[in-house]
This record gives sequence, structure tokens and C-alpha cells, in this order.
Amino acid sequence: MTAKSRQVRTFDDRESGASLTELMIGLLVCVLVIGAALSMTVHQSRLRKADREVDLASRACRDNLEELRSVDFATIASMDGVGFDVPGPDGQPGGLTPIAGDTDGLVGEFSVVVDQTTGSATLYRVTATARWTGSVSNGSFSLTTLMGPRL
Amino acid sequence: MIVSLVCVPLLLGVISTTTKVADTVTVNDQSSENEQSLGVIVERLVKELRAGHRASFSTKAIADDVTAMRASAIGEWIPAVEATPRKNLRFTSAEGKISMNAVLATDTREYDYFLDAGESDNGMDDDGDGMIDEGTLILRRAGGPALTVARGVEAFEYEVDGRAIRLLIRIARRDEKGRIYRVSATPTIFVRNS
Repeated sequence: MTAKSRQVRTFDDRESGASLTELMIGLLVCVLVIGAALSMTVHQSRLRKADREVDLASRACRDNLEELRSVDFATIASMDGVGFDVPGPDGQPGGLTPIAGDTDGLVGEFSVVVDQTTGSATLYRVTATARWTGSVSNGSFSLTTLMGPRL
Repeated sequence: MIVSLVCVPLLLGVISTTTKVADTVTVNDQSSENEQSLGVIVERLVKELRAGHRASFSTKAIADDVTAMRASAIGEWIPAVEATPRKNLRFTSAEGKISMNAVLATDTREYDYFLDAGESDNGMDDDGDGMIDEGTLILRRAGGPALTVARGVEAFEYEVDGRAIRLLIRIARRDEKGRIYRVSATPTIFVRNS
């Protein structure tokens, strides 16, 4: 009787606790969950950076078009191909990195073409474009407006 | 024993990773919120200033204005002074109710920047909260009560150059761990109405 009891107790002890197989499965599940969480965080951070880059580019394009409105109208045609910088979030120069092969090293560039001419008046189509090497991929942003003689 | 050896490092790894992930999410959230706040303020100012009347721009006189005889006393509203950074601006804009009508004007709008108690305009963190020269940007319509536009403003100034106005706005936020989130904008606006 004593020997039988000992056998049963021994059997129960072997069944209690976690086996190495269960532990490994648990470990695998944990690694997968942590991996997914890390991947999601890294992806979120990259998207935030990409959003910020587009935001900086759009602000720079808009500001430079506004600056262009305040220069002498006669000089607007000569601004075709002229570059401009995209400041960083704290206003520091060089907020974005130019793409490889950019000759002037400036992210932004104006394009000025004649849209309409009536008599002595000319209406220009002005585009401010920013192209940069982004944190995710190369980025590009353009704003186009019309500019005519001002009163 | 084997189970403990495997589980304890694993648990520590889980805790460390979870903390880092939560921290990164908080940083992203706080800085995005800060950028969004600045974006709202900038959009509002740009919209109002673009339709502004350049001739209506005025600023509060400082000591230099009194010396240069542009004003009789400090704090008096005088026409905007070109190419010198200022911290307060009063102007009217085209009302915009009737399209193309630049004559009908809005009430005056006054944007003014006041330093918080314990801060002085010296580029330093005087009150030890991590933010530098922070203050409040307020708006008064037609000389009415002050409406708070933004708190935690570290810089608000502008420069007038002909019909262009260049703004500098920087706002900062401090989270519960004492981290400071700063973001600034330097929009240029060509004022559409002389």
C-alpha cells in the first residue's frame, strides 16, 4: 500500500509545473508579441518623420511663394530655376537633405513659365517644388500659383 | 530552477520593451500634438494677415521709438516700424463678406505676447521649468477682453518688410517626465491689401 501511494505521488509530481515544451511555446508567443509591438513603434516613428518632412516642404514652398510676391514683378521671370532652402522644425537651415545629383544643393526650386499674355500684361505660372532624400523614401512636394502685375 | 532562469530574463525583457514602446508612443504623441497646436495658430495668423490692410499695421512703442521721436511714450500704439522685430501687432483685415471688396474692414485685432510670472526676456530659463522665456499669446478684438491664443509660447515676434511680414513663433510643452517638446514656425505672408 505504501509503495503504491509513493508511485501515485511520484506520478502527480511529474505532472505539476510547466514543461520545457510549454515554456518554449510561451517564449515564442512573447517574442512574437514583442516583435510586433517593436515593429509597429518603429513604423509609427518612420511615418511621423515622413509626415514632418512633407510638412516642412509644404511650409517652405508656401513661404517662398509669398516671398516671391513681395519682389519686383519685373524680376519674377528670372527666378526660373532658382533654388531655395527648406528650414528645419526650429527654423535652422538645411531641414531636409537634397537628393543625390542636386547641383545647387538646395532642396527647393522655382519654375516660372508664362501662362497668358494680354497686351503688355503677363500672367506667370509659378511652381515651387521641393525634392528631398526622405527617411522612408525620396520625397517631392509642389505648389503652383499664378502671379500677375500687382496694383 | 531552469524555468526561473528562462522566465526572469524574459520577464525583464518584456518589461523593458513595453516601457520603451510606451515611451516612444508618448514622445510621438506629445510632439505631434505640439506641432498640431502650432499649426492651428500659424494657420489662423496667416489667414488673418493675408487679408490684412498693410496701412493698418501698428505696434506698441518701445524705448527706441521714443528716442527716435516716433512715439511720445512707451506702450503707445504707433504705425509698424519696418525691419525691427516686434512682439505685438494691431491690424485690420478685409472683411471678406463681399468678395473683392477690400475697403470693408474687420474690427481691430491685437496680438500681444506677455511673459509668464517669474520669467524675464533674457534667453534663459528663469523659473526652472525647462522652458525659456515662455509666455502667453493673447488676442483682443476691437480692444475687448484678452483671449488666450496659446500658452507656453517661447517666442512670438514679427518683422515688417514692405508688404511682407515675417513671423517667428515657437511653442514648448513639458511632459510629466520633464522632457521639453519645442517646435517653431517662421511663416512669411504677403499682405494682399495696402
